[in-house]
Amino acid sequence: MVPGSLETCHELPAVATCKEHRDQRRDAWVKKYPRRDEWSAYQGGEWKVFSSATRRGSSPKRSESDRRIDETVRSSTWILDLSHDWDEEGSPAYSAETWDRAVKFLRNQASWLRQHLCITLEAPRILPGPHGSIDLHWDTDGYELLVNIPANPETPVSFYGDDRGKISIKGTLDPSTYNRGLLMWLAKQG
Amino acid sequence: MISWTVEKIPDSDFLYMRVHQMWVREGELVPGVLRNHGEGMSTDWSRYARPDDTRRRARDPSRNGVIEMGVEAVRRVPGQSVEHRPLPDNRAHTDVLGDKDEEARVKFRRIARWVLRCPGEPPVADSTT
Repeated sequence: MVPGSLETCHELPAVATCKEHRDQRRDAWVKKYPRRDEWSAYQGGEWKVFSSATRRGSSPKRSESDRRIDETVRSSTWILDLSHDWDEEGSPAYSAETWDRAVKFLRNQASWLRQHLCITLEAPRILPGPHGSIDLHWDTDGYELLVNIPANPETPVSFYGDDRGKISIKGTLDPSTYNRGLLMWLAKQG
Repeated sequence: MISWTVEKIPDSDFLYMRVHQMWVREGELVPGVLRNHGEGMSTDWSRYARPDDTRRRARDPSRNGVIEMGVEAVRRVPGQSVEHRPLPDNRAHTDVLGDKDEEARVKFRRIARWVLRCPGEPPVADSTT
């Protein structure tokens, strides 16, 4: 996860290096309050709040994180070409609806981490899962996380992750909302 | 029809499982292959099977590789047990019982070792997953 963190971006902006929350036009650190349609900028040693209207013209640039996730999404469409019994063991085909839910979930988590914690989410591998489900798999030197998007939209998303040591996280979540426990765990792995 | 005796499988033995080449991406095992077929994850006990026996049981052996997992390591994965369930034509048949949730799949993948790579797959320097 590069390049910022909660501490460097929001608490020590003068020495931070987070490019995604740097407003070049104002030469200031910014963060957005999505529900209030307001931004705050760190100027003159303090946070100043202003509305989105006053920030017009400084559209946020597309991040490296978005590009990496776009690429992993594009490269996963082969899953949709698998027909029934594709593994000669009776595995079913994958529905576009399940794949869409997986992609939406991934984009939502990446967006939340970028907007709220100034963190770039590493792109996972998007893989065929068991019984028509889709897996999102992060497998890095520092941690491993497996999130399963089930074929049945009524079934909750389930996940397990650990740091290959003693710290682990496991549970289920509603993909239509943000699971702060999982997001904060992901943020900590960076 | 032959009816084999069900035996206790020692921790020191191994289980072999075949893996279709479609469950391998860039030389690595896809976690989704580690799932139950019905009640359990189907494997062969090393006492009565060699890796090539396991591969030959596939519909098309030329598209399959074989992984092995130590029985003790499998039993250490939370919620999993190992049960010898011989079939008339396969004395080695063994089920790994228990929900194959994300934790189980992550941990099985870590203990799995390739013993026969999928034919046609480029060699990988590391013999692990």
